[in-house]
Amino acid sequence: MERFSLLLTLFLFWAVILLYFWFHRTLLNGWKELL
Amino acid sequence: MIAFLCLGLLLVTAGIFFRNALRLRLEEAWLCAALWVCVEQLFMVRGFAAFHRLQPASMLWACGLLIAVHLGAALYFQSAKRAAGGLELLRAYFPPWIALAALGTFAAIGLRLYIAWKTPPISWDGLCYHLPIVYRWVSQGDLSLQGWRGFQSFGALGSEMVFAWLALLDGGRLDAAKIGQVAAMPAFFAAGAVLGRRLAGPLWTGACALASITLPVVLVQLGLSYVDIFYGAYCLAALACAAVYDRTGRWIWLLFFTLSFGLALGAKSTAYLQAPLLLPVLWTFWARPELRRSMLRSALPLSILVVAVGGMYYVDNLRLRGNPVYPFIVNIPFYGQLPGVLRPSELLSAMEQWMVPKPIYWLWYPFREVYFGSVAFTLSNGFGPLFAAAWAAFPLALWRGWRLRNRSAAAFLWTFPAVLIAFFLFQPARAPRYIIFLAPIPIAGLAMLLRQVRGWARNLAQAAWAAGTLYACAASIGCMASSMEWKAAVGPLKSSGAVDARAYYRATFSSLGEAWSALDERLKPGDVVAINYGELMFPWAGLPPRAVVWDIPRKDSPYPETYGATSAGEWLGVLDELGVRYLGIWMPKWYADVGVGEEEAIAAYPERFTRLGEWNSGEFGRVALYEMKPSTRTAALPFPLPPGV
Repeated sequence: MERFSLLLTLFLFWAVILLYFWFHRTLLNGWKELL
Repeated sequence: MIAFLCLGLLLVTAGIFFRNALRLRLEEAWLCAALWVCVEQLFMVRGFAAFHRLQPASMLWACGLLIAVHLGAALYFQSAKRAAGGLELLRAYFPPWIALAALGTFAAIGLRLYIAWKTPPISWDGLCYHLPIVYRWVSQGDLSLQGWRGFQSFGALGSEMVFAWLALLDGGRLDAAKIGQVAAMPAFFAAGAVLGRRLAGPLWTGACALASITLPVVLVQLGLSYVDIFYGAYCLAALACAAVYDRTGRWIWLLFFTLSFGLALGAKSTAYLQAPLLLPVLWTFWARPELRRSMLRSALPLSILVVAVGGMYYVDNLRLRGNPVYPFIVNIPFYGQLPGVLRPSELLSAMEQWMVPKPIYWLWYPFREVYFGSVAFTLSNGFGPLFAAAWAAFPLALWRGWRLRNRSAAAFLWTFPAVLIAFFLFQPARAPRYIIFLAPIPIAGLAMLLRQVRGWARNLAQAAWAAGTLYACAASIGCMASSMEWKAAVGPLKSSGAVDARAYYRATFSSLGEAWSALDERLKPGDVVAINYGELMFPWAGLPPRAVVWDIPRKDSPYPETYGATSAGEWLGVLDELGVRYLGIWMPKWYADVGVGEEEAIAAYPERFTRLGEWNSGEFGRVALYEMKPSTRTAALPFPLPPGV
């Protein structure tokens, strides 16, 4: 049970991080101005 | 640059002293040093100001002396038996993925600071009051704000004192002060590290420290003359000190909790949401009977210390004006109203709607951070990917802290909802920037959950953490790079390596920038400039600043000891008495009546004013620049000018 909940936490951690990247991907466009 | 060299030397020598003398862990010694240096800066500025000696040379001497004292004390306490090597600890705190995140973080911070250093000051509030206050203090040699027309002169000004400290060490220029929030970063970083170590162990120490300083709102504000990072750093430091105090019971941590609490009170006038920071210490008092005696015995001296470090603004307001948060009118249930000038609801309470249509939307706001409808990080918002993950996992962290019977972790984590409640009850203008210190709380909670994973799973967790940190850096820089302010700076920086202040302000502030440039061409050191509208006051002093600027609208002043004039004749009399040479009249687009009274007065005395130019823009409105002909007639001022002006 303990192991399962840890893996679930890890999975959710990655999932939220990746979702966040996707929702905020337009913010990276500014690098074109910089480079 | 000397300013930051002094800051670095003070920090390092104080850190070695605390590590040697108190046998503290590396990150704990660093936290104590960072807080201690902040206290020293305040007392240096206040000490010299008391003797009207706020001058570059005296500050440089004082810093040199203090560095020597730190070093002497550190060597005195040096023992033959060395504590665990700093390098070994750093290797433990920054495992490979986190070390990679650290490299990216420092590169992003370096780039952000380089652009800010090379660019004229740009932040709105910085130009309105943070920098003009510092400029005035540094030019007159003391901390008087007599005649300052605005609520800022009654508020907490501790952060501006650190800006002034940096400015003085920079030879009186305001380049170091413009990026002065750097001075709060060591405390922010160390507080994150201490909490990470106490809640999640050495492998997550560096991770939590980096997560604290890579909040996008922090990276954006880092190059701006705001004070939210100061306030955030001190509040987080107070929580870190409270957690260590509960765990170790060492009185020194109660002392540093007190110092950081006082520093936070003095950094920004947001005392109303600071009360919950006392909860962890009260919990310790209740749960550790063996500490009660010493806590009670030191309660009075420590309370006096809070007032001396940062609470004196509130005490002064209470003593002189009957309201600790003057000029804000406060309604106290069953008591009545405390006197003031402004109602808190008159503040920019619509600010919340820049980010969410209704308060309930805050619940999922961390997953998609928008500003005026589009995804963006600004100086008001941006908590980043790690906060989003931590926000989702926070109930689990709360439950886990409780189940582990880890009191210091549980007390620390429960502060989050307690502060949020205070924030929603008492703060009319709700923006994430006012509660920057809250973001690292769930983040440390997330690290506490993740500390249990081992082997490949831990690598995977730390890789996600590094990805989150690096993305926060990349997205913050990317977001700033697409702003008009950065575009106007990066182009000239790439082509010539420098940014021309006049061209820069013309590009960013249109009609106002034109007026500032036209004024700057004529301005001589010591000239007196009057403006009718105090917003964006700083560039009216010249580029670089060299004039004295007064905000003198033609209307009554609600504040004591400020200039008020209703009739055209009275207004002209005040301008004459102050020796005004140039007059800037701004009719901002957003207030139709501002500037009308002054234009009428100018029309009534055409022989006294020469119009030097007029500029109009859709964004900022109409701006006119006048030169005043000297008059033989003088009027009696309501109070004398401050010395040195």
